[in-house]
Amino acid sequence: MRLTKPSTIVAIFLAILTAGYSAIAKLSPQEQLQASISEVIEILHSGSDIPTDEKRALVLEQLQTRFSFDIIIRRTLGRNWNRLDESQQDRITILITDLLIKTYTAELASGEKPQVNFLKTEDLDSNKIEIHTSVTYKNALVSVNYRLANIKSRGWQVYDVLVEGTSIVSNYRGQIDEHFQTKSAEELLDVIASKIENYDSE
Amino acid sequence: MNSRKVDFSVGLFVLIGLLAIVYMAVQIGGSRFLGGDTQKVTAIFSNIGGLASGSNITIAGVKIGTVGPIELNPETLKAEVQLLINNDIELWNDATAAIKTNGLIGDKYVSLYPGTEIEGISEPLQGKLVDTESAIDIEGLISRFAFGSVTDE
Repeated sequence: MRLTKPSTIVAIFLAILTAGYSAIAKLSPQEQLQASISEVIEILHSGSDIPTDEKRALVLEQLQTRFSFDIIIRRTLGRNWNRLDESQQDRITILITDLLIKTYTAELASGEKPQVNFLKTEDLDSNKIEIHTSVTYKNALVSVNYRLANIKSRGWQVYDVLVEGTSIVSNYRGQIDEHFQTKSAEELLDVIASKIENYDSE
Repeated sequence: MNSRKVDFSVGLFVLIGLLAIVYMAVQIGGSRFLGGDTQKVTAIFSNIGGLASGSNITIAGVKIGTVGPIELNPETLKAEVQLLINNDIELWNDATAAIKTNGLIGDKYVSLYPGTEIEGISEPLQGKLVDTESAIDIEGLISRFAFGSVTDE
């Protein structure tokens, strides 16, 4: 009797875990992304009770479940990725993620609540999909499409975002290519760090 | 004997002339019947906006191939564009293609990013190229801008 008690607890715990997991797994990638995006908007507009730093941490935590920032950043750097040593690669991934979160929280938290309409999911190939959305923000209607890939052990993850048909990865890659024509990787890290400092001082 | 020699040289002359015409036609037409020096990749676009077969494919503005046949997929209603790219360009799984315009009203061309080789992560591109950016619909943007201004309070 004494022996069965802990094992019963373990069994119940496992049952709850798998039930929760299968509930998440049953949601389509579009529903999963929709839940994360609305959660992020809720966090940003949750009033001034929660300090900005805490909001950022919550936003990052929520986004990291659906957005693979490491893949987005690697694609953004493109061929320049190999010019960075390992420690620089790690640092730039952290810095750009931080900068993205701070830029978008600063912009979105101050204005009105954006209205996001999820329109459809489209298969790109066997392992990639595109989720079409339209965003109404400050009286402008903008099309925002998320490209997701089914990545082993991570599930459906966003690897690129297209705003009005223009990919942010390609757009940033162009700017980073220009930087590397005349400047070094260390200078790029300094530029990003100083931009983050500007947000912190505000 | 003499007339056979003349006949032979006339025949040879005509043959060389014909071969020269064929060679010239192939060169001017830009076709590649003879050399297998290109790789074929199909890219999927939702709007090609005036891109035509024979348009240039470039990397950093340098021509590295030409656009082959363009077909409409009747099920997805998307354009399937065959890209004929020089064999010496290696394509990786993070490759992207975008339709751009030379200047404001210039010809359309495909700007290609062949992807990055990162040890242990990259794989060569397999299947179709789906990470594409379609031609920007300027009229659509203008009409949306106009629509936005009407609804302003």
